[in-house]
Amino acid sequence: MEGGVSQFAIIFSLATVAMLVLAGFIILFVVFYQKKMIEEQLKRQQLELDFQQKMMEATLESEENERRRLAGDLHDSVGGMLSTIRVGLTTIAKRLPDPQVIEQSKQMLDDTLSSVRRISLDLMPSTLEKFGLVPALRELCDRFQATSLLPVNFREHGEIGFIETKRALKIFRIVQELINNAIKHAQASVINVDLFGEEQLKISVEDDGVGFDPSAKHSATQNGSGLGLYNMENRTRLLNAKLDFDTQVKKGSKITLIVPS
Amino acid sequence: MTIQIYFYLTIAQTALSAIVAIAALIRYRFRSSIVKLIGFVFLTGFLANAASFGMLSIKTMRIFVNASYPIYLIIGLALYSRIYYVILHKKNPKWFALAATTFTIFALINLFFVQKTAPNSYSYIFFSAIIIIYCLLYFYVLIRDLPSLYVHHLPMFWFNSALLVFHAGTFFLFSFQSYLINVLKNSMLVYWSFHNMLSIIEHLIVLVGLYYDLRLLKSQAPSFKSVFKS
Repeated sequence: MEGGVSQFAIIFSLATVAMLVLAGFIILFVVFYQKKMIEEQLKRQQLELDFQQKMMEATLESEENERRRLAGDLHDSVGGMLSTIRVGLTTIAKRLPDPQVIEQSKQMLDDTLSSVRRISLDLMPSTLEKFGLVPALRELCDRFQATSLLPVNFREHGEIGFIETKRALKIFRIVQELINNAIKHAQASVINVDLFGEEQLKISVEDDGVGFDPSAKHSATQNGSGLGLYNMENRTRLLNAKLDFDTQVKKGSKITLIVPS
Repeated sequence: MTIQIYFYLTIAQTALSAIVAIAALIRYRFRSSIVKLIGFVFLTGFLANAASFGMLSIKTMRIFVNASYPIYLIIGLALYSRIYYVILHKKNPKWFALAATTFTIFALINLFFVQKTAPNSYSYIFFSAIIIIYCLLYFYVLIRDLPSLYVHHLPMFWFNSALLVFHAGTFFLFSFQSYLINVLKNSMLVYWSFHNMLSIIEHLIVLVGLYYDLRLLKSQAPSFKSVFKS
């Protein structure tokens, strides 16, 4: 009887310990397995994000290359041919008894030539590649001012460090789109572009126009109607930068691009 | 092992039930339904223990000292079924209702016709088996859904672990309860103190879960004060 009781006690203790160990094992397994699974899921998501970012970068780069090619063709080929035609017209005018008859055609040709140069510059700012971001932005403001007859003031504060051309081109495109939007939609009387170069590069485009509803910005990006905005946000993401919208309806707007150095 | 130590452990377990119930039911309006139900389960446990102590002190009532536990088990399983039904995405309500109803009928038949005033060990075994199945189902859903990188920040993870440890540890104790009572009378206190110690561990683990729940509550609600003021 005594032996049977102690045998029972041993079996009972072992069974209970086994159950407790099993319970502990299940709990630990759940903790580690689900942690491992989530980490793998996060890794997969990160890979997908990286892939999307690379795709976006490749799309924007091919877009820029196409613009560069088009700008080159326009400037060198069309522009060159138009210049040759102009020389020809001048030569013909010298031989004519009344050179004034082709003066109107010459004027039209000059306008076409400047249009081609402007489009070519818009497509690919050669100043950016030759002299860097700040002169390119200054030139951009001057050009916008000349074409829109709206004061576009460019102000530089502090020292602006060197920015790699690819990054500078993205910043340039964002500022170009911001000024373009201000001219097209804001009904502004003045546009100020301020460049701050301290620890990080800050560029603000401010206007005194009608402003806009910030929630409309979000819906425009969502439904695809704001393509310019969508591209701007993509470029901002690729720059690892931040686009800060400070706007209210009828109170103008100030949009700041903050680029980490 | 003396009867005194056994009583101390029982009192500690009862006090912990009250503490868990209070910790789960304070800030009642802001607590999730799961935590509230956990609070009610432990409140019922506390009342069952208190009723047993009460009946033990009254000579004529001593015979009914075990009667409060089957009632606790019936209420407890109904509440646990509701908890696991909610936590397992409210799917298959019939199964949870069936488990609770079958158990209730079983426990009542056992109480009135089979084990009567003796400790209702059969009901305990049935209860533990259902709870262990619920716990395993919850863990399965947890590793399938992957709700959080830090699973130990989920209060339900702690509640579930506590229940699994307690019911896995006491499953054989309940299974052999009749044998223990009839044959191993002398060692009964040791085995039952082991049950009480496991129960204390269960309560402490549940308290860890409640700590995480309160922390979560603090971080989620920006101001309790403003809600109270309004």
